[in-house]
Amino acid sequence: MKQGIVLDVSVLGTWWLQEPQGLVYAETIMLAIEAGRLDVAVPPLFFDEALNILLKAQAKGRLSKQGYEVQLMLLKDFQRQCRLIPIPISDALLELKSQIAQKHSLRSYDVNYLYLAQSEGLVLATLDDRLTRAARLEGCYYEPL
Amino acid sequence: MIHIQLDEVKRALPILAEEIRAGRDIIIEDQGQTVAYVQKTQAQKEEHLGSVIQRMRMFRSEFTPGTTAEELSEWINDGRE
Repeated sequence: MKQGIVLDVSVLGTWWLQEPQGLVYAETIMLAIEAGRLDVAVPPLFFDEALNILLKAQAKGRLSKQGYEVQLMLLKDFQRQCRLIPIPISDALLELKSQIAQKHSLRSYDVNYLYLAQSEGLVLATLDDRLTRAARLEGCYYEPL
Repeated sequence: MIHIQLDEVKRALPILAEEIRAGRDIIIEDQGQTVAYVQKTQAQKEEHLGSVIQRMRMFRSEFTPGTTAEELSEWINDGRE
């Protein structure tokens, strides 16, 4: 049976850029996805953040124009194949997200990842320091076997 | 159907991107072996996230290494902090 995870964009970004800090964690997750051992869920925000990485990489000269086009095309494929979970809007949910943000000193938009993991009964794969700390405290941090 | 050698892929990226958009088949070969097969219509039928990551891995070298964790964090959050 596949394990379900919420994927934070920091994992994809680290893997894309082969940034040494966290690369082993990111590579382990990507290999598990390739092998079909993980089901990946993301909030819509994931793709805005991933697009931002591509835009900045091109602007900083770390990705050619042609490379950008190819990566954007692959990101579209990623979008079609992962489990995209919309997060509804309500007073109660905004209140809950406010509480989560204050409890863990999280940025408001990062709360979406933690909220999604908790509400869907999944674990969170992240390389963001604050999200890692919060997910560990909430018992939903993804630790590769 | 386009056959291309693995070591030619990078140089031919703009052409390949157009061919993939047009839905044409592409076979990537290395030393006489097929190492990747891209066909848009077939891909849509059979693709799963694992195969998307495999293709992402093939083109990951397009990124120039050297980005730090701090830079990456800034890139993700750019414009929102």
